Amino acid sequence: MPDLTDEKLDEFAGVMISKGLAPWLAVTTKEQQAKALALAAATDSFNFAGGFADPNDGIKASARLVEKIAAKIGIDLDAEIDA
Amino acid sequence: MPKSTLRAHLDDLIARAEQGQAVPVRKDLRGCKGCKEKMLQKVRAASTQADEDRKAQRGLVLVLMRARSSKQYYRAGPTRKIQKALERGGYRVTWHDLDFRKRKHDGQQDPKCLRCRPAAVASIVAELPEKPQVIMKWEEHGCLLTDKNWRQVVDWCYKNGIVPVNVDYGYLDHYKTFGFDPCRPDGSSSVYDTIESVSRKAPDWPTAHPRIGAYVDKMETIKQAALSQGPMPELEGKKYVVLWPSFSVYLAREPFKVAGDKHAWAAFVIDKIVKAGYTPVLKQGPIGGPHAPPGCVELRGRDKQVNARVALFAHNNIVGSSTVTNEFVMWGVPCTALGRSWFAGQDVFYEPETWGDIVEPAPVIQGGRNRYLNWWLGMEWYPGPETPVALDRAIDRTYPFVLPGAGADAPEPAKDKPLSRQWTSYERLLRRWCQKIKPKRIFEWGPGRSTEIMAEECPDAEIICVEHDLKWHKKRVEELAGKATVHHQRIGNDRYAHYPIRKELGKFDLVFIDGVERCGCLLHAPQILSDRGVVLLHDANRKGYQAAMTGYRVAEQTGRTRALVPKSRPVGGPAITSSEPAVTAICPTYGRAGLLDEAVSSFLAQDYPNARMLVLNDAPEPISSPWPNVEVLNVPKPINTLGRKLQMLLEHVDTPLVSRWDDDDLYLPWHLSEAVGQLLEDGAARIIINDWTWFVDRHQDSWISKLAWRGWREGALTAYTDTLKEYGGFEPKRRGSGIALCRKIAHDGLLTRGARPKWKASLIRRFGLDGQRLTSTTSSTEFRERNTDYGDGQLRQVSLASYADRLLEGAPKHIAAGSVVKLREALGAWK
Repeated sequence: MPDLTDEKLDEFAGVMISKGLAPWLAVTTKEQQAKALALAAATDSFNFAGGFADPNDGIKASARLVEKIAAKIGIDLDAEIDA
Repeated sequence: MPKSTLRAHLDDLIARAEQGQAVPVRKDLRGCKGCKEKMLQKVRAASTQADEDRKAQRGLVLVLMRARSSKQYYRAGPTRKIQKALERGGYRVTWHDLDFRKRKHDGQQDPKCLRCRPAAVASIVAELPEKPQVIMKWEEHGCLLTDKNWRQVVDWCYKNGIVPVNVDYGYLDHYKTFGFDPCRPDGSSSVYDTIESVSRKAPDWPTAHPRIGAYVDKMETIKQAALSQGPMPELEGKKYVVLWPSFSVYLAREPFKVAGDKHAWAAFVIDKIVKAGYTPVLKQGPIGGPHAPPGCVELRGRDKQVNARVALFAHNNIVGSSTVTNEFVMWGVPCTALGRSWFAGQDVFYEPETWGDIVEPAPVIQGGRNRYLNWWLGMEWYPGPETPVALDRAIDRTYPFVLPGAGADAPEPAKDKPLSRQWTSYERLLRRWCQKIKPKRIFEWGPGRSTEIMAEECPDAEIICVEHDLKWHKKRVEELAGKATVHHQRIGNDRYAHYPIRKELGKFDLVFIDGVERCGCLLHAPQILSDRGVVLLHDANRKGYQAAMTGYRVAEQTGRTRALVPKSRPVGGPAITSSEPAVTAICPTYGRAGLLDEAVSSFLAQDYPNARMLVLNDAPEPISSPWPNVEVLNVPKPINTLGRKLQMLLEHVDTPLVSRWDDDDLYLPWHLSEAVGQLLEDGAARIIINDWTWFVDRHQDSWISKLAWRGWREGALTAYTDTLKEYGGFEPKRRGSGIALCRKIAHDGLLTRGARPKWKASLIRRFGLDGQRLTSTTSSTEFRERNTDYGDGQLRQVSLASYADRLLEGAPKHIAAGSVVKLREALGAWK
């Protein structure tokens, strides 16, 4: 199982943003971005699950990565979005 | 619709994963196929709709064929190709010949064929069933050839709400790519704006385009075959330099223009090769070209294999324009360019400045060559999936500049109304300076249309003119009666140029030089100038006038006309003596609310007491400021260039000093106090720029990791407000207007770069912080599309502590440990 520490995920999030690997960020409002991120985590857009022995670990890592990305682009995790 | 939060979503997901239930039930684990398909359908539908909308908006394109050689040749394949492509995209196309003056069979003027003049184009337009949306100049190397006539046509197009576009025939014919370039208002092509924003990294060939792979393979095969075959038999064992001369006569740049025809030009270049001790080779295309002088090896044809064998084994290759450009870049051969082309000033080929440097090769700069190839790969390929996006893009880029009311709302071209006479470049400059300095007394060498303009702009001013031609003098006396006094003085013995001094006409606020003996006029003009007077010189680009202009500095230049001020006059005004003069930080912004908050916070944390900030916001959403020392000017309509925005801000500044404040950068707390301190300490300097910058590398994460020297950072300039205004302010350019201004000021020795320790560098450049290339978009439209963070209309102070941490983390690699300690202390305001 890949060793995904907090620092590593933080670095990963930075790379994803700086290299434009996060196409869902192309939407304009913060709420849309939050929704897109929620969807990305749920559908494993990062394709993490395949890299773990237990795909559930991949999903967890995916959710943590989304947190990091949200923090970097200034999305409030507690802001309301359409369910 | 029920509400939730992102945190709740993620918590739920993690909880389900803990229970082993979060795995998507799909094989590829990359998203529900149904959802994806639905989303894709939506995107496709939206894009098809957008496409249909665009098609409906596309109008008539008038293509003006400006052929320099056989009409049939130009009417061949590429012409049909472009017509088909345009029609497929929904444009309607109509053609007209222009400037094809002589009929082949009898040498007579073709009565149907008009000259390239606004009146001629207006008459063509008047006969069309509808007003064209685009007027396209179809000319070989059309993007590079911009003459006076075409500039006038472009001006006419801008005034009538039609987009003028250059199309490059050569690229379509040779490389199957479209080159549509909108003309700038001065008639020149905007092609270089595009090239400058392209990456210098090696192109990603396999993914670039399916055809490109094949093309690259073909070029490589040719190169390998040529290397195995060796040089051409007639060149074996010789050390030779090749001249590839096509189009050199038209496109040679200064100082490589030679009086005479193409034969004279080639003979001149070949003479240089012979004198350097090499065998000269003249490699021609299949259609014509200069004669080969005796002793020169001549090769003809368009066989690429032969080209490769000639070029690869040559000591150096000398080209006129874009001949075989792509091949040379791909083969990596040394090349010296003497003409204008796409590659001019782009580090693609070696571009010497003197005749003495043309024969010896220079090292190949791969970055420049990569950029050229990347630019070429970015062009649209014929026939392309949906042509002509390139033309749409060109139109989009031009529309904001087209005046008045471009597009469907544009007024119909007036058929009866006489055409405006504002075609000449001096008119705009003249009007501007008349309005700016409001002259009381005006002197002019060579009266004419300019005198009428001055009389119109300054009805109360006393205008005195001198004319050398008796007939013209009589005519002007009648025409200008009541507006100006016109004297007559024949030329000879400096009588004409010396006239105002000999006749003791006194001092003048504005002197316009548009007659004969202009060098003499330039030399005498300072004696009749008042303290605030300005000299305007028409046709200032002529070679013969350059020496006479050395006594002046250029306050402004538009086209071929320059506003000049004598160098003997003290510049920049008296030095400021107060210890803490007021400074205004000028900050243009658009749609970057998040970044702007941080930039403003870094201003609020400055340790300089006497500072205020002026923000110019041209985004659709207004901004307000809660602080009295931060003022926001909200402009409802977007302003096209950064230079214009800066100039607007500069005009609002009423403090003795001004400082630039970029909305996407950060300034450390000592930025203003250091800059002002250094500037006042220097005494003679009127502008300061610190070259050292904290730099966020866009290829890395957003950590501050470099303290780098990156040339002049115009974002870090602080200057005397009057000096900036005196030097003409910021040019209305999209980029580099500050640098252009700094260069002018530095030329007069009024710029200092300060002598601070490196760690005191106070600008943090945040290049591409959010993963997008914010600072180097290819157009203002693209910039506006990318920057849409309008915030909630209120400026906020935010914490910059995290940046302070990052700065200290990155610093030790580049600066001494002792300095880091100082930096830590100095960053107290941010911690």
